[in-house]
Amino acid sequence: MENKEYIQKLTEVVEQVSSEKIKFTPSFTPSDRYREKNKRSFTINILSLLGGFLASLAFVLFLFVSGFYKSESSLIIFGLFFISASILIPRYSKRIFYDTTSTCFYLIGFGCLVFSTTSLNIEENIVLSGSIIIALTTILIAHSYLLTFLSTLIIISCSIILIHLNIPNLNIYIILALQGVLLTYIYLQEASILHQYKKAAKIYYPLRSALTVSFLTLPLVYDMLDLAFGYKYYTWASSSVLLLTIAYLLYHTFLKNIMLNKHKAILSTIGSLIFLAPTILYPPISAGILVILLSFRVKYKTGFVVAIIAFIYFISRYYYDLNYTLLTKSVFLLASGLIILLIYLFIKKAFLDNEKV
Amino acid sequence: MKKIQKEDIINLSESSNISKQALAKTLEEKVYNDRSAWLLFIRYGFLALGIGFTIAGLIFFFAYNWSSIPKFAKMGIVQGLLIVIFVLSIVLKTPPQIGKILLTACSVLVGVLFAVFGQIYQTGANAFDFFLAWTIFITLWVFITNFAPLSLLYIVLINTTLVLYSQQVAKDWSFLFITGLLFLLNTLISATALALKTKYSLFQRSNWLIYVVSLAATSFGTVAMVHSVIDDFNTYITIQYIVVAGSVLIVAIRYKDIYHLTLVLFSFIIVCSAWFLSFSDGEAMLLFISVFILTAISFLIKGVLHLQKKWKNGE
Repeated sequence: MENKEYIQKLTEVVEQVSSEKIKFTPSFTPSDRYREKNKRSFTINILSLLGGFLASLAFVLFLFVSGFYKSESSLIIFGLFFISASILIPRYSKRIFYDTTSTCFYLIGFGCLVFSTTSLNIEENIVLSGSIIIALTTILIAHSYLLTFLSTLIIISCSIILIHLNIPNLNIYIILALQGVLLTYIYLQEASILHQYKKAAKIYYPLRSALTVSFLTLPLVYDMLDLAFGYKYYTWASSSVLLLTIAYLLYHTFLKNIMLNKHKAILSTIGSLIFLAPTILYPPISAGILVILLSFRVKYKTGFVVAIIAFIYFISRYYYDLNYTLLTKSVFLLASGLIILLIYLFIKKAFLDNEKV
Repeated sequence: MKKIQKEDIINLSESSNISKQALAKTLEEKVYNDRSAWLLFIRYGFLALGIGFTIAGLIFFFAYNWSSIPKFAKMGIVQGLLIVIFVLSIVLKTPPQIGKILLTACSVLVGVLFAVFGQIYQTGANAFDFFLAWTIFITLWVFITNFAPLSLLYIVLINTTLVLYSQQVAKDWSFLFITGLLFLLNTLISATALALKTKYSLFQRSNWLIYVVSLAATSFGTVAMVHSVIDDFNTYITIQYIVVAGSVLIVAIRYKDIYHLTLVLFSFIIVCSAWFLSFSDGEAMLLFISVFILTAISFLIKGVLHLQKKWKNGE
């Protein structure tokens, strides 16, 4: 009975918002019932993760000690076996323990394949393209959150390495800018994507998480590998693209979410752009801000927290790398802090004090 | 009746005849952050950024001038900050939580004060003396504040002091002895907290603190047992481990505590794996251990879920 009432309430809510008549399919199960059946405490989830990881680690040690790594053909066979097993396991069991085990098998399988292809001196372009195809196949078949997440990361990493192998002098911030535009499209077109592909929810959310993580960690990876950045004008061009993307997002937000009129929305967007203009010198800061805004908009809490941490890191990194004395840096920081506080006071007086927040 | 779930709105396209525009509108109005959330975000975002940059600027300024600041001024700055924050924590008419946060900041500044003192006067004291002094001087605040993050800092300081004592003073203590001691210490802290849970509000509202300390205790215990089993067998450690693990198991089942039950059994699986490894580290044994871990964890999860369901239905 409670289920029928819930479905009726859900129908009323959706019809009220959308002004459309809604009819649910007979097989519709409200998420609460599904969640109750599959409820796992945090403790059991962590236990499953650790258990899957330890079991896989022991198996890797077994492979190592038994000398399987010395034979490329054994590695290829085992690699393909592990990847196949990892794709099939989630189709038969949704338990997080098997999810973790399948993820570990997947990583071991990929590791075996990459190791064997390196020993056989196969061309890197072929290895990377093959990895992308395997990862794509995994996404389409497995329908597991962890596997989709990892596969997306593999596709992005392999694509970036492929680009760098074939276009060596490419400025990395151009890739960052393109990723930023793609990420914004994916966040803003959630309804479109979910509507177009019926079972998209299983792929969309891990894909979005993976894109967010890779977007924020790309500058970090390049910092660690100490790769050349190319011409500074490309850096400014990438920053401009990211800032324009932020401007588009902000305009959309001011108009639809904060519900300002068109005139005020345009002024606020221009004001925000002027405020963010100094970030043109270092694109990762704009990248952090973009993800903060996107995650906050769609209420994606993990992305929001990760973006804040990344933003703090990028700001700290920027100031650390500046070739000025501590005194000059302290003056920049103090001045920035005071300007931001003045802007806060202005916004508070002009807009926020009239609102019941 | 239950609230409308976000997952049901997300699954609308799959489970109904909703159009793309209607789905977008429902997501905007029922899932995404609304106007009031955005206004709060703007308010606190600008405030946090402004304060963050200003404080960072001040820190950089002091860092630049640190070497040219006279020693009494250095001490004075830290002491002054400590006194100001302490007075604010008492005098300010704010919610009690803010006062506790300020006292936690004071406790951290006590450490900074001792560090600055050591840097200026080059007393030759070792790290153990520094951490011991820090621990002793914040003891009163920890017990009167009743604030979990401060208690956690205090427990970390006690553990650090003990480790440094073993490294810098009691240099003849073996690795097994110190891990066994840390195991015992953290078990006692966790057990005391659990026993006093009904009497003191700290442990009622901050289960996470007990969980963290129990996890630390279990980690030390497991490391000590693995070391004993593989390298240097020690009867006392083994007896200590069995007694503590057995007691925790009995109490966890009695009080229906899934967390501690799972922790002990998982530790036991790791110790068993180490025991198997002590017989042989060949490929057959490694394969056996891999299968053992998979099987044991599966049975453990199944058993824990069964108990959880039984306890829930029995409520």
